[in-house]
Amino acid sequence: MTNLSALEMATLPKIMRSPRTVHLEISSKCNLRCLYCYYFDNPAVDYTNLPTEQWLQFFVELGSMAVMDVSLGGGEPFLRPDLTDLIEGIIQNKMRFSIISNGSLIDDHIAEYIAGTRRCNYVQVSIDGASPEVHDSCRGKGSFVKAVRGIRTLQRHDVPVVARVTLHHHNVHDMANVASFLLDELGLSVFSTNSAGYLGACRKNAGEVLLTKEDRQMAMDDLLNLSQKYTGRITALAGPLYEAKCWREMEVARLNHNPAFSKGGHLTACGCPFGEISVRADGMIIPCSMLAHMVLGRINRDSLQEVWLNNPELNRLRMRQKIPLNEFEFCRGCDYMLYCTGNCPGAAFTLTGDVNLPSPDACLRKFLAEGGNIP
Amino acid sequence: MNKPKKTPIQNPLTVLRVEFDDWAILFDPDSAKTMGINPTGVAVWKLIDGRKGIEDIVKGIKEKFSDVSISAEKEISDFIDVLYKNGFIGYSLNGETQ
Repeated sequence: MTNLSALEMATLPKIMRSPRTVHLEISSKCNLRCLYCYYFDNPAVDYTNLPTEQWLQFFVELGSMAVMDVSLGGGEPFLRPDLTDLIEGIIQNKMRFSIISNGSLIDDHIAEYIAGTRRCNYVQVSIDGASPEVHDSCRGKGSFVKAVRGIRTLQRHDVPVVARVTLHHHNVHDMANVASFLLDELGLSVFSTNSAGYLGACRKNAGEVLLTKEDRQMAMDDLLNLSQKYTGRITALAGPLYEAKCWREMEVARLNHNPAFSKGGHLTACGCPFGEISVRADGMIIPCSMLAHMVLGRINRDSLQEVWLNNPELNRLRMRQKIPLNEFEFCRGCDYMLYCTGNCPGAAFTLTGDVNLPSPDACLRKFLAEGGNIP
Repeated sequence: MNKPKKTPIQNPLTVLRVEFDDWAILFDPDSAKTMGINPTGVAVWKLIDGRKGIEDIVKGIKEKFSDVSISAEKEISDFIDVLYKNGFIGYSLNGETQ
């Protein structure tokens, strides 16, 4: 690993002195084995758990760096018997937290504790269907009932709760029911959406769970309609709804011969390395869970501040946004290039083996060439 | 009748998070409130120590910056009031008379 040249350093985009948010995979274990899970079956990851005291030591460093939020995920964070000890450490170091969970292990005791901390931004529970048949199709028998019970328990204790819906081949037809169930029946204020990606355990189940071309079209059409019906209550930072919105804007811009979008024409996606960083369950510092192989250091051995500001690999990832799309054969001649960001570097790495390429999975031109329509 | 002197004091929970070029965010982890502040605001924040009154803080700012406007005292006073209203600081009544 070589350091960046003086010229590269001079052109490095401005970065904050420390990350605002740090994502912590505090548990490498999960009580479910979802067919599309991106986390498990990654050969680059050592699935071990750090002891309590190592996390607590790290939280002191995060507090000294004025990190504002941590997200606790994994794996299933509620499997950690020391979860309340870890949360105490977060509180003592003046941070807030969120928890990413399958919801199945949430009981009154832990929900009451979380509510009492007053530091929880939200607990995110995965819900993939409006019925056990649909939800359990990829997440395992009995998981729907437990997840819904977890949400209701959190609501009973006034813990902010949101849901994450991951679209796949077996639930794509159920989005209207899902929206009604989560927003009308359970009364959640918002849910976010994504789709199963060719990562981790999903690789071996890809044929069974990934969205087909037709599924993807249906997902975009349905989610766009539902997001108009439930204004501001269905969100997406990736997946069919995100693509539907982006691609509409790109098409309007192309038809009007608009100038390039401010982040268009280069590999500008995503912005995470400028404000966030992640830590694996074994303590390895990584840019994000989607780039779990890219080890930048180890907590309590390497200074996070030093890693954040000066790690050459992280800075190269930030420099990615200087790479013009017209350098790539894949992009040449594309009418959408001025409006395209190249999309997720994690997906690009998974699909091509190179983080510094556009992600072919999220290419509008390819989608249209394969018979897709912009919704 | 003499009034007790009000001295601003930082809420010990408030986090000062410097981000770019000495611009910063004040953050209350209990309420999740945040407030962006410029480098002068950061300097004011650092002078709020529970001992200095507003006049002392203005004096400190004038010593630190060469181009302080004539309305600085009011601006600093207003800024401190905003900090108070958002819970980032409190006032200690130290018993001194004005």
